[in-house]
Amino acid sequence: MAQFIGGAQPPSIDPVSMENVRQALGAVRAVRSSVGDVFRTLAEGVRSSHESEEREKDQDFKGSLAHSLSSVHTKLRELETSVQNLSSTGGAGLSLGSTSHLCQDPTIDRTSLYVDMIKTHRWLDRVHEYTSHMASVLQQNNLKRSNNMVFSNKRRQRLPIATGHNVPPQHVENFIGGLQRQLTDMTIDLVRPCGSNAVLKITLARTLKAIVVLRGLLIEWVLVKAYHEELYTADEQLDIWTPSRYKVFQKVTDHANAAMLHFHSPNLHDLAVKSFLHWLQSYSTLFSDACKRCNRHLMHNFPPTWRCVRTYEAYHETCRP
Amino acid sequence: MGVVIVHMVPCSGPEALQSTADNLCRMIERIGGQRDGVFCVDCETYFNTSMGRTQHVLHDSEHPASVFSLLESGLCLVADANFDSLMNKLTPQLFTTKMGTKVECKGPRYQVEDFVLKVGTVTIGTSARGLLVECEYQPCPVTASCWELMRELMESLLGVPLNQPGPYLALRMREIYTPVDTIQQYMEHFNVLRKSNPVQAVSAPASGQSGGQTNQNAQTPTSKG
Repeated sequence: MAQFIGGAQPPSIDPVSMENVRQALGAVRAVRSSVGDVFRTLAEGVRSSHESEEREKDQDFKGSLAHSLSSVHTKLRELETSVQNLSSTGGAGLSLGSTSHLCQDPTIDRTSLYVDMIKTHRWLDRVHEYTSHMASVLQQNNLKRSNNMVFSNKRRQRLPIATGHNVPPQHVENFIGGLQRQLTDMTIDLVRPCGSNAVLKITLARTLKAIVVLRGLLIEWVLVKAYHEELYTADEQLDIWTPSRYKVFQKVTDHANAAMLHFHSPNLHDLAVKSFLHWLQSYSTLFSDACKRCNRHLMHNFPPTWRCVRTYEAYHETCRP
Repeated sequence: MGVVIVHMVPCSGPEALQSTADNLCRMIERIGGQRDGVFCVDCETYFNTSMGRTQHVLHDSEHPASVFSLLESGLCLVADANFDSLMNKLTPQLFTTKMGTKVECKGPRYQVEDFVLKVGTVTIGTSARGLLVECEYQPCPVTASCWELMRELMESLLGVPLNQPGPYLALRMREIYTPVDTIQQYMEHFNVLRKSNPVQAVSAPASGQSGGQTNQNAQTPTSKG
């Protein structure tokens, strides 16, 4: 067996293990010889001639027996250590059932199979161990970067292509017409001054006018002006750039642009436009609503210019929840 | 053109007018008011000698190209600045005016964000009679919408609770505000101030001449009633 192992060692195994085998064999031999010494000593026994000598011989016999026994003990220790060395390098800790007989196959190219299998199994064990550690650590430190659970669950899926910008004009007109019926105090005029993309001219009660530039059904630009401000330039062009000359409507324009981004949804574009227009409708009482928080009309000489995007309640800029 | 409220500030006497006006100006500057020139509203009163009617002709520095002509009935004519020269031509024959009856309201003008605040001392002839504060909120065209807003500002400035709007404005709370409404409010206050001192109050002269028809013709085409 020892010869077999020595001869059948594949070249990938390091020479240290070979040395260990040699040491172990030497240790076995040493144990055997020392055990043989013990038996020989016992077989010779104690020779008795004279009484005085008998005691001496007795002492000698006991001394030689104890010496040989202690040498057996020492050699046995050496054998144990060499066996331990062998077991650590030989992969005795892993038992792969009857596949372990593979290493007894004398064919050289098949003998390495068992060692490779053990290596692979160890590697897999380590991967399992590390992944379980990793999972527990990650569960403890849960990094939530988005409230949108739908998005996180479907992260691996491919996102559908947004088509909100590419809606037929007829569909836009029907949709805006439907909205107009819902929003009673809001007048919506749909014009197309630059090609197929619609521009909504909105008049809200007797409070404000707004221009909403659409691309398909995506809101691209919002401008809010006073009820008595002109939406057209001197040469009868729709003026979508000049801001209102009143600071209150400049603020409302800023809030409307923020709300437009808030309501934006790449897939539910019609819902985004609908939500935005309902939100804008809450400005019909811009000058008459008191702030929900401080219950006053004026703060820094401005009325409550901000509207909550969920409840449509009026707040001053500095009173926002 | 936004909504304008003209409010008379109560004063203990003619001596206190200037100090009250100064205090108000300081208050306005404290809340962030930027002084932006002066303003003037004046009112000249003419008497139609043939029909015995009174006609007020007002100018407002906010509308320098317009002349407002008010009858006692409340009918208002908005005309170009040429209307003054027409009245001057008609004055000796058809209309008479009395010296020292011209009412003027003058003072500083302040801009506070979207508000325009004016503090004007009213003089009739040469004597100071009262103090008017004009508050305009430019972004809003309907009085009912922004009345509470303006009342809050005026109460914080004047320190006294503000009552309901004047009788003229109360009837037009839900209508789109026009410059004529400002003139009508000034006229209300000027009438009160004139009557406050019977010695200075205007009395109609008794010189009657024909020519009222011409006046009616002049008003009809542009009358805004």
